[in-house]
Amino acid sequence: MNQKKSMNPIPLSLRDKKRYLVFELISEQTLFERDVSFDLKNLLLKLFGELGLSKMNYQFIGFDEKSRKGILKCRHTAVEDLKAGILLLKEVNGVKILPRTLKTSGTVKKAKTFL
Amino acid sequence: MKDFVLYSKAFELNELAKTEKQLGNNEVVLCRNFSEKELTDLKETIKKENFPVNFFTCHLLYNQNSKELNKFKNKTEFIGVFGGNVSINKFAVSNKQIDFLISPCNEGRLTFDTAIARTAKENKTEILIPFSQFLNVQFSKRVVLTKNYVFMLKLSNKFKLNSRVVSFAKEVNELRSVKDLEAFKSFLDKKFESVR
Repeated sequence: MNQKKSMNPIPLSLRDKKRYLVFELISEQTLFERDVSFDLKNLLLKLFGELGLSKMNYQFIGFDEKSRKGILKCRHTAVEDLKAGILLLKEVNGVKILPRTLKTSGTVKKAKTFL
Repeated sequence: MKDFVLYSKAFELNELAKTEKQLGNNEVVLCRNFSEKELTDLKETIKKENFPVNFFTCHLLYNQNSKELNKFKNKTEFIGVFGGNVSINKFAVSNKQIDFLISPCNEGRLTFDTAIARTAKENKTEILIPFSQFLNVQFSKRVVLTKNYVFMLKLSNKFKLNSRVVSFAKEVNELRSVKDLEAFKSFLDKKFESVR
């Protein structure tokens, strides 16, 4: 008997509208991607909780250690909340930082041009 | 839009100006309970050196002192009151000479009610929420602080007050971009049901 092996594609009208947020961490010392990802996720988890963070569709895309800029992904309705969350980040692995959001983009390709 | 900073002698104006420019803030208000000499020296320094941002001064009152208010009303560009309890908040909004009420709420009981909001509307007092208060408070108390400010913003929207979030930084690491602080205000403004 033929068994269904793959999912039907989700129709465009039901797909989540995502946004890619480019942020910068101003600091004098080097920051590592895994530390930024860990500390940021912990902070957002404390602020929004598991349910809130899952509803935001939060995802850490990447962080460039040279330019100290990174990209986050979230639902289009959660952009302002994510910006507010990033502002509360004071330090990463003990290093004091100054967070700032740069741009919001609809595609990751355009977001990468701001790195 | 202006950013507000709690100025102290530990702040180096050059470093402050450079960081504020990096964050995209072009106007900075230096708030402090100035003495006359400090204010004169600061104004001279601002005039002499060519900073990349525009600096303004704001005399900050920590108690209900009308004499001090009259003394400084024409010497600084702004006059602000650091709130936190009902009586000081009421003093700040009742006086037309006071431009700003900074930090009306704290991590304890609510200190901002409809009477204060109504009076603030009549006297056109602007309410400033210091972001550094959220950064420096303990996590468990931040919950209560956020709740108090959410309620304060509810009243502010009902009575159509001018209110905004400012950095009110005591050190360079507490500075934030004014545009990002607007996002923080809209985050506080949102009703919790809107997180779908």
